[in-house]
Amino acid sequence: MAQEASSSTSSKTISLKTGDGEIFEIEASAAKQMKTVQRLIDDLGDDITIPLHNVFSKELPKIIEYYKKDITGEITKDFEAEFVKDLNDDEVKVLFLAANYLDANKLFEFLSQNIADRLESKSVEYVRKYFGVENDFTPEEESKLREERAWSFRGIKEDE
Amino acid sequence: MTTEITDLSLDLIEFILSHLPIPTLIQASTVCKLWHTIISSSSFSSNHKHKHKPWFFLHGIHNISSKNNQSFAFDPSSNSWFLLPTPQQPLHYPNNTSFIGTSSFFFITAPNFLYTPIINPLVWYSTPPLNFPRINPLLGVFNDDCSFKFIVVGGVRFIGNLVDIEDRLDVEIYDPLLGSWDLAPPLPADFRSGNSSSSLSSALFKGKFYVFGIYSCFVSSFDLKLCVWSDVKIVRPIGVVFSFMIACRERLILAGVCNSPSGSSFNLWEVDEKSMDFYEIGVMPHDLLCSLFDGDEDDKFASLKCVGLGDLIYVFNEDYHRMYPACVCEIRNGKCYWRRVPQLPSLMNKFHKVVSFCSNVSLHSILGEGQHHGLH
Repeated sequence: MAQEASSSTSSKTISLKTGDGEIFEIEASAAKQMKTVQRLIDDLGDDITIPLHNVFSKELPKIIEYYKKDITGEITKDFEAEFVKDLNDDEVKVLFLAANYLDANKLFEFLSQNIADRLESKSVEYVRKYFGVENDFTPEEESKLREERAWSFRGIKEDE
Repeated sequence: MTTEITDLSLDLIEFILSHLPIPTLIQASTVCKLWHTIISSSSFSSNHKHKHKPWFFLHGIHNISSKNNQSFAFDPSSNSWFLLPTPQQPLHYPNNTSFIGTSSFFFITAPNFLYTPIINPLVWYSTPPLNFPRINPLLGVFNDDCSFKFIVVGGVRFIGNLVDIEDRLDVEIYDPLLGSWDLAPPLPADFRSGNSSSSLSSALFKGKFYVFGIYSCFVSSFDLKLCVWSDVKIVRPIGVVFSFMIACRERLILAGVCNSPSGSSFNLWEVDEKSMDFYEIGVMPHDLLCSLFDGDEDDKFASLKCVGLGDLIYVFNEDYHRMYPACVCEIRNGKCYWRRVPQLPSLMNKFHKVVSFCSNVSLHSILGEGQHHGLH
């Protein structure tokens, strides 16, 4: 239902179209938190469906869910834990890239910390695969480095 | 369903890495050569999210057999203890000469002056001996324009195998560019001579070296540029039994045991460095304080010690038999957040003495060119 364009309406919704052609609605105040979206609104106007070529229908609803909570000030540690609980490492990475593209600062920072937390207990080989990085150390170089810093590979956590 | 571009740019990778604790980053530096360069760079170290969370070190010394010495380090960001490589005992040094840890180095102060990096203690570096070799002095490492300098205050004169408790020893400052120790006026006489690091605490804060009497509550500061001591003042909150002065980020803190009609507590005060006025900013939760002790003897607090830096203050019981229980307080936005430090791993040897201190740990020093030089 079209609404009168008004700069102060808080109930105005913006239409966003994902790279795979689906359309989602978001409140204008939530859109403000995503600087890329806001810039597009400033350029194209808020009555037009905003195209987001690099965000897809798998991620956008999750991002909208986050900012729905954010504008009501309800983001808590519990909410954030629940938010990522069922996401695997690759799904979080895709969400992180989307948050980066959208310039959605709060979500971006939260997901960076979450990825770091997930990687903390992973092996070096896993980290290489996760970021698509080639190992260019020779086996001798690598084993020398690991030996020099062997103590850091053996952290002792309390059994709690 | 194939995903779109899922490889992150280097900027994004670096941003994620800056959230990781140091031990994980040391491992991550072995991912590839580019990552090693990034992680060991000084700019990465200065953007690191945990750079204001110093580590807590316990170096255990066995009086007879130095092979039993052990170095433990606690990383508050990963909440884990690490067993570090122990420095080799330098040749011809009795095991229990003055051994001090501060600012990422171990020091031996008598008969010669030696230092080695805590994390990579491969080699002992030496300076010319102090003009007045001494044991148990207060020691600080500070930055003066472009280079590091050492400052040595107080301590007990070491002559051969004898100690002389009468002298008030001059302050000595080492300039690595000149390769020599300069003399400066000794600690004011109000601090009784022969006082050593067991009754004094020190803090480097805003260009001054503060010395504080743990029981006397006397304080004086040495201006590192002008090389003069301030007047001696007393900083004694009501009920304080003993306390320590700590240089945190942006604040000078007093931390100590306080008696009141309702019992004993461990309190923190912020001290104004100009006026030496103080006001309370936090109190350790009572159950946390009790968890550091076994019984209820009158003098149980005597083994309580406190060190700190950056955003953290560590309080611990220097009691071997209880495996040095500790807790840490994080100061965030002016508020105090207390928690227990996990128990030391049980692979602890028997020690006669423990050297405990707090120090920042720099990736750049561990991984970069810093690992091959003493000072840089």
